[in-house]
Amino acid sequence: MNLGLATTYIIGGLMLLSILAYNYSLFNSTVETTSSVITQNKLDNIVSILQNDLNRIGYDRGVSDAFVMAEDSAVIFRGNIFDNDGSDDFDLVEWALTSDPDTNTTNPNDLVLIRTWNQTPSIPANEIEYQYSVRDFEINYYDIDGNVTATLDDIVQVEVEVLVESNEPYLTKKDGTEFYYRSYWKRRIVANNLIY
Amino acid sequence: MNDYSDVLYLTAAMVIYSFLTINTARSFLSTSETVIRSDVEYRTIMRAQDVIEQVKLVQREDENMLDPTHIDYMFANYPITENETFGYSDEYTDTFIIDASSEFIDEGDPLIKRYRVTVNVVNESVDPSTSVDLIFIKSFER
Repeated sequence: MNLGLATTYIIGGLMLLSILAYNYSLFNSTVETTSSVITQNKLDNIVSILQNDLNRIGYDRGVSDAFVMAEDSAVIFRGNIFDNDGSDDFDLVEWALTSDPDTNTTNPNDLVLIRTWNQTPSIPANEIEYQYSVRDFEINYYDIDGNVTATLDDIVQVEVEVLVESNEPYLTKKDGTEFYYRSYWKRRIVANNLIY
Repeated sequence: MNDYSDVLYLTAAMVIYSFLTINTARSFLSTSETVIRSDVEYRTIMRAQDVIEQVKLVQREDENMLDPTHIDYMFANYPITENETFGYSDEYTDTFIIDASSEFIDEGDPLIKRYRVTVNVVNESVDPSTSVDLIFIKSFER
């Protein structure tokens, strides 16, 4: 075989391998960046609605009876969530994490977080349900002194923790281990209408 | 020299190709860093907002908590360092250096007293560290 031709094949082969490796790395990096941005947007959407709801706990309701239920992964409260909506003065809102896996994503860790909103609580049929996929959702309740409380009328601060993961893995190892991008939000909110 | 011209061309092409790949990889690394930094900033802002939320809780009768000269001053021990664990099984930890102070805003209005609360939170998880400043005005009716 011609030595020149063989050398060309060797160098060309190395170049080809190099290009393929580079292409693979570029592809992974793009997938990771894209999934991270999508995950951050996903969290941001949930947080925007959550903050709006929590800041309006008790609004148009006075300082009593703001909470109907307050548990670790579910809360039901009254408050005027949007002005001039519905015929009732206040809305009834529920945020609850279910143990059901979210089948809309390929991520096996995703659970369904449900937000149920009724702007006319006197008519239960008007309830509207929204679903989000999250990895974790936790709520803690505190009184005015910052102590954990389970008494509904004593709750003044609500601490919420949300963890979301990307819908698709950004990296799958040879042994099948999948890596998902995670984004996290945690805040302790003092609803203006619960302090006086 | 003619015999080596192809080799020289190939070497030049490989050098150019190397520069291109290095620059592209650097660009992607920079994008990843930006994404991670935005997550860290997000958490740092939350921490600063939490301090502001605690200021919102101060009642009129506890106004001294915002007076830097008073024994009840709520930021007397600041700056403080706080570790926060998070994640599904608390697998992550963030360290925040939280500084806060308040100052009386003398408006000369006998009916209202206002305090400017400044919160600074630093998260050193990334290099350079992330710093967030929030300002909140708390008003008390006399």
